[in-house]
Order: sequence, then C-alpha cells, then structure tokens
Amino acid sequence: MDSKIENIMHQDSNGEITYNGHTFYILYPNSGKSIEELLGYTAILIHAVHSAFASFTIQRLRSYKDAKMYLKPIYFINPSIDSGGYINSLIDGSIFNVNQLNSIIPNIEEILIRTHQLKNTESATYEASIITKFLTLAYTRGRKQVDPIPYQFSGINYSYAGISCNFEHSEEQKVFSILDKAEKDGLIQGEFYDKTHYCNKCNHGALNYRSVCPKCSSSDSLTQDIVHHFPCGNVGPISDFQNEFDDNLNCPKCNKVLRHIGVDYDKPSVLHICRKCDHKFQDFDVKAKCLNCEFDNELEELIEKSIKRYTITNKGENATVFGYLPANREIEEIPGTIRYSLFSNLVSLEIERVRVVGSKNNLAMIYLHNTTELVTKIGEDRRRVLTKEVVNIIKKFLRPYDLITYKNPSLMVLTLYDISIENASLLLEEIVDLLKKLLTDNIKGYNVLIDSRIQPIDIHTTYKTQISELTVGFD
Amino acid sequence: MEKFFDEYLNFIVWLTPNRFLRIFWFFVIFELCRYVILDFFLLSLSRITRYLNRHKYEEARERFLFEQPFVSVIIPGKNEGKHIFKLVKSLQAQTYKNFETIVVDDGSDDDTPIIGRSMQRAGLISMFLRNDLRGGKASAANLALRFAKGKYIVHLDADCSFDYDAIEQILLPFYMDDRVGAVGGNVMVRNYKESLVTTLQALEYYDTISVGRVISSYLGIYRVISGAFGAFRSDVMDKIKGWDIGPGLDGDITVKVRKAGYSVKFAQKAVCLTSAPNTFRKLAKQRMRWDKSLVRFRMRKHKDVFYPNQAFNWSNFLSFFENILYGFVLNFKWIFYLIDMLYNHFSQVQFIILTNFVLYVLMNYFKFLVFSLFRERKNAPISYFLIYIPCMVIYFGYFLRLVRLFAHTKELLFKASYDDPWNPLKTSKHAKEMGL
Ligand SMILES: [Zn+2]
Ligand SMILES: [Zn+2]
Ligand SMILES: [Zn+2]
Repeated sequence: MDSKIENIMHQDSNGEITYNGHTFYILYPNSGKSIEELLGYTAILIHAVHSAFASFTIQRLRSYKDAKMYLKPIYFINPSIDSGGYINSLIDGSIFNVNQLNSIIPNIEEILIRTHQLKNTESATYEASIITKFLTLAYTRGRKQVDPIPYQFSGINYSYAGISCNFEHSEEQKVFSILDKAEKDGLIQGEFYDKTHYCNKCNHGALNYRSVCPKCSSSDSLTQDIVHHFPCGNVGPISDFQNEFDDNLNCPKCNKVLRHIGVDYDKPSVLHICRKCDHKFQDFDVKAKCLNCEFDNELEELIEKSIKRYTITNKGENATVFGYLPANREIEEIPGTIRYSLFSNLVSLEIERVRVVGSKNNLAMIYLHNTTELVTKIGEDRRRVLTKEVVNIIKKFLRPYDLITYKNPSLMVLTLYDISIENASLLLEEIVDLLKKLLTDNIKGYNVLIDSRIQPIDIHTTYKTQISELTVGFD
Repeated sequence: MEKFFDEYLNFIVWLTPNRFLRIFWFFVIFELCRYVILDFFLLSLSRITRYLNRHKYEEARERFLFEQPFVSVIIPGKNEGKHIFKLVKSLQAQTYKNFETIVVDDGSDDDTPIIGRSMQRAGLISMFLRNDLRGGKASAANLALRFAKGKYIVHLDADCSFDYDAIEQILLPFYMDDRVGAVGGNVMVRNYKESLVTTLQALEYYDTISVGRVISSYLGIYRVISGAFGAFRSDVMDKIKGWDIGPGLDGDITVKVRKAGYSVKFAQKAVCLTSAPNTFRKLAKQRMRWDKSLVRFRMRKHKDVFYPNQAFNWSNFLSFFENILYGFVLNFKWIFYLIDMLYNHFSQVQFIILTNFVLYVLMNYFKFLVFSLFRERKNAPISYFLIYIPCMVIYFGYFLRLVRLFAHTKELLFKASYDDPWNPLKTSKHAKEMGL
C-alpha cells in the first residue's frame, strides 16, 4: 500500500505535496510563507504538534478576507492534543501523517464542489462580507445549523465558526450585531441556546464569580454556626460554646453541657465573619470579577446576553449561493448621488438624446479597494460621513447636471458630460489624487488603493454594454 | 323607675360616714387611698424632687452629650418586616445619632428576610440577623445582644415609633445615677382612635401605666420595663447574661437587673408610640399573657426575693410585695367584697353597685384631670377622652379584673404559660421542666 501511495504522491522538502491531482501544503511554525502564497494550494495541512500555533493559524486563515483562503479545506496534521470544539469546528478534520491523505480526499472534493457552486462571494459592506463568510463556510461544509461553541479564549464565552475569528477580543461583541442583522434579513433563524454575562466595563465574558463580604468585598471569611441553648435562651456563635479540652459544647450562660441537637439546643442559622474587615453577616454578596479588566461587577450590573444557535433559512441558502446583497439603504441615502437604477435610466436616455445632436459625453468609474478593511478601521458610521465628503469633493469637479451613483460601496460610477475625453481623463486623475490624499490623511495605517477608468459614451452602443465594459473586473 | 329613684335617694340619705365606710370599704381603702390620695401625694413628691434636682438633670445631659456613648438599638421579632422601614426612618430622625441598629428576624415566614436584607444592603440598618428556626423572643434578643457593640442597649419593638428625642431621654437616667442598670420608656397608644378598646387602653396607659410608673420609679419599686422601649447598660446585661425565655421576659429582665444590685428607672419623657390590640379578644389574650407571668415570675422563678439571706433587698421585696398585693391578692379580695355585700347587704345590692359605679366614675374623672397636670407629653387632646371615662369603670373593674382572675387561676393550677404558643415548644418544654 505504501508503495502505491509513493507512486502518486510527491513531497518536496518545502512541505509541498502533490497527491491525486491536488496540491497540499504542510504549514509548519516558522514556515515563512505569507497567506497570499498559500492561496494556490488545494488544501492546507497545519502541523499541529504545537496546539497554540495550530489554533492561532487556523483562526488566521479562516479570518482572511479572501474566500479563496477562508473556504479552503484545512486539516490538522499530527495534532498533539484535542484543541476543543471551537477550533475543531474551524478545521475540516485531522490526520496523523501524510499517509492518511487518502482518507480526506473525498471530503476535500466535496468541499471543492460546493465551493464551486457559489456564484458570488463578494460583498457590498463589511457586515455583509462577514455574513457571507459565515454562510459560505457552513454551506461548503454541508452544515445547515451553526451552534455557538463555548470557547475559553473567546471574549464573549461562545464562538461561532466563520464569525468569531474575524474579531479581536475587544471587538467580539460585534458578533452579536452581525448575527442580529443576518437574522433580521431572514438569512438565519435563531433559537435560544444559553445565557451569558459580560463585564459592565469592558464587555469581556471571563468572569470570576465569588461570595464576598458585603461591606469590603473580600472573599476571605470564616463561617460559624449559631447555637441556641433552649433552657436558658442563650444564643451565639458556636465558638462561644466550644472549649479547649474536649468536643463538648458548654453553655457560657448556664454552664450546662449541650446534650443533643434538636432536644436542648439547635443551630438556627450561620454567620460569616470577614477576615479582612471583621464584618459579621449572614448573606454573602456575589460579585463577578472581570478577568480581563479586574473590575468587580455587582451581579445586577453585568450585561446579560442570550446566545442563540442558528439555522440557515432557504433565503439564507439562496444568498449563500448567489451572493448576499444587503438592502442598499446606506448607499441611496448619500446626498448628491442617485440610485443606480435611476442612473442607468438617465444615462440611457441621454444616449438616445445625443444620438441626433451629437456630444462629448464620458462615463467613468472609481473603485476603492479593501473597503472592508476601511470599515474595520473607522467603523460604519465614520465611513458614511467620509463617503458624503468624497461625493461633495467630486461634485465640485463636475457640471451641475452630471450624475453620480454607487453601484456598490466600493464602486462609484459617474458621468462627465460635455467635455472632451482628454480633459475628462485629466479631471478624473485629479479627482483620484485628491481622494487618495483625503483617505490617507484621515485614516491612519490604511493602505489606499484606488482604480479608475474612463471611456467616452458611444452613441451607437447600449448603456448596458458600455457599463459592463467600463467596470469589468471591478463589479 | 320612679320608685327605684325614691328608694335610691333613701339609701343615700341613710348613708352616714360610718355606714359609707362599712359598705364602700373596698373603694375607700384600695382605690381612693391607694390610687388617688397616695398616688397624688407621691406624684407631687416626685415632681418636687425633680425640681430640686433640676441642675443634676442638666449636668447629666451635658455629660451625656459630651460623652456621646455608642448605643446599640436592637429590634428582635417575628414577621415584623413591614414595620422596619418606618421604624428606621423614625430612628433616623432622632436627636441622638451615635447608634447602630441590629434587627433580628426570628424565623419569619413572610417577606421580613427580603426586607431586612435589602435594608442592610442599603445601609439603613447596621446588621440584619435571621434565624431560620424560630427560637422565641428571648433568643432573638440575645442574638442581637451577642453582637451589639454599644455601651448601652436599647430594646425596641418593631411596630413602635418614637419621639425625636426618645433615645436621648431614655439614656439620661444612666447619667444621673451610676446605680441605674436599666431604664424603661414611656409607652403610649398610637391607635387610640381606632376602636373603643384602643381608646380605653390609651386611657389606661395614661393613668396606671404612665403615672403608676412615675411613682414606682420614684419609690424604687418600678417593676416592668416595657419590651416596646427599654434601655440597658451593656455591662449589666453581660452580668445577667441577657434575656431568659418568656413570656413575661420584660418583667423578668427587670427583676434580674434589680437582683444584680442595680436600680431601674422610668423615663417619662422618653416617649414611644405603640399599636395596642384593637379588639377585646386580642386584648384579653395579651393581658392573660402578662398576668400569667406575674404568677410565673414573681411567685415561682424569683420567689427567692422573699427569703432573707438569698437575694433579699428591701426595694426588691417591696416591689414584689406591692405587685403581688395589688396584682394578685387584691384581685381575689374583691371577691370577698362581693361576698360581703351579697351576704350582709343583699337587699341594697343594686344601690351599692350603682353607687360604686358613680364613685368610680367620679374618681376616674378626678384622677384623669388632676394627673393630667403631671403629664408633659400628650399624644391626644384631653377632651377626646372625657366621654370615655365612665367606660373605664367597666374596663378596669370588670374586664381587666376578670381576665386577671382567669389568668392567675389558670397559671397557678395548670402552669398554662408554658403552653403559650408565643414561645416555640422546644424552649417552653425546658422552662417548665426547670420550673423557670
Ligand atoms: Zn469585609
Ligand atoms: Zn444555657
Ligand atoms: Zn472587564
């Protein structure tokens, strides 16, 4: 059997394996490869002897922006320990050595087939891109239901495959708003799974619940029974009744020996004595100390959240395969722009109009790369403000009757009417330069990448053909 | 009717002073002399003494205010949660501020634990202790006492409210005399308008209870510090080791303080308002308990007071003697009077009853009005009570007497107080075995 495999398996010293027409890469710690370099392989095998490396790596790969990576079949090879439910939900399986590759081939091919069915994995907004990731990952793995999985390193105590790995601890609460949005859009259906609590100060979920002194919040205390001696009515902590010599209880009031619990004495309650402040109390306070920021929460101040398990709806499955377009409200609402459908109609009409008189009209597009990164950096709200500003700047270069639209949040299309193509090109260049400067100045550490194109409007071709020519590769 | 009046008039005319004394000897000796003349004399004397000692009072007050002793206010009880908030608010309004409040919940089966805990959380009470198993009032008070840190212990009932200076007033006697071990407060009826029975009790508290205590305190034979409002020296409480099981533990603790060699005072100005039983049935039940404890504690548990060499001292002896004479022996004596009248003056008995009634009414009016001069703090206008005074004759002369007679007989013959559900069975069983 070994000889058979060797015939078709080729492994080179870099960790590359070719087997059965698929290419694999074994990812070791310090392999020195960037994620981009891994995009071309059919599947990745993470060398999982160091479990910390393995769980870190799988989360990095699954959180990568490109579907080519995050949907890739990824396995652990030679895992030393079980990494637990959440990490297991991110990998597609594990094998002990390369000789077992054969066993995962059917699974890989199944994933590839399902991945191939996806028509569109691009998303218009950052939120949508995360939802897409969540949906497509589940779809390509044949899962209709996504369960929250308790995960000790999660900032919100539970993790969801495909979503949670995209966030730092401090941002993990966003998982909830994204899932809520997907549920609102009818893509998934939530069902109560559990309740969990978060620190009031930092939203973190790692909390140490303990009984504390209600006065000073110290958890160091001594508990004593209260003893009631019936014949004399004496009551006090049991230490009042104890002596150094034997186990008998003696009543300090009437000097009798307490004989039998329930007959001549009982223990009606207990008392706690704080070792720190000497406060005596019967009811502990329960407090939850945050293991992240050390804030000692009263139970009432904790943030309570319901954790749900989600089932992907039919609508959700459709959106998975054909691409998920969130309601484009935020695009339409930008002042100075018009809806794309209206834009199309108006430009079509203009083409008709000038067919008789002739004119120098142009159509241009501006594409901003990695808008998802932009949103992570500055948030959806600031992005909207920034977009408005961008539109205002562009309008200054245009004629009052020029039209601007966003086909999606990354792609802007505009007209430059009554101007020669040469001048229009210069104008567009100027606009792009200004945009680049604006974005670089406003967002620290953001790599601004803008593509633009312009072409004269051809009065003999339809608008449809012209716009797809213009935006090819960007739409 | 007319005939009756004619005959009655004849009876009155027939009454010479000698015959009056012969027939109304009970009234003259035991009521007029004891409760009017002697009381008036002693009240005046106490007032004069107070006037002569007024600088002592001022000095005591200065010393008290300078020292600002830490005081523990303890509030034991069962199912009193509903009263605690109001009570604490009334305590917060006190002129004296340096005190802690310890509430003990003796196995309540209502919302008391929730109320107590939340109030402790809110810092309105210093300590809330709950015994899940009920142990009786004495054990609840003892538990509070065990954790009290004050130099003085003020014991309260939860359903009371207090004059703004009540705590200050109840503590002053400790500063006037070092031998004072305990002080009783002046309890008045808050719900005097609620029903006839509460009005009558208000009158009774005005009269026998308040005035009576001024006098007995003056004579040094003051017997019962009301459980509703009393103050104790902590060191004395340590010596006598707290409360023993009741019922009647208020009287018992007072006797224990006396036997330990301390005197007990009544603070007339330390006013506390309490809710009196609002039906005759409830009142009878309460009084049965009080009256039974007279037998139980004076004549049984603390009978050593009467034996020379044991715990004998004159004021204790007198206090007990007076108490037993008036509360117990004379209670049976009116039966002799009844027999005397029925046997020797049977033909005139209807006139005697009527005259007695008139005499008692007159006496009550006289006492009420004259003794009003000795009351500085009134919680109701005098005029309100005037029409109720004739009822007092029946209330005192018949109702309370009958209840007392019944209670004493029952306790003497059957030791009934040990079966009182007021205490949990587990404790009364032991008390009975030991003859406490
Ligand atoms: Zn403490
Ligand atoms: Zn004992
Ligand atoms: Zn925190």
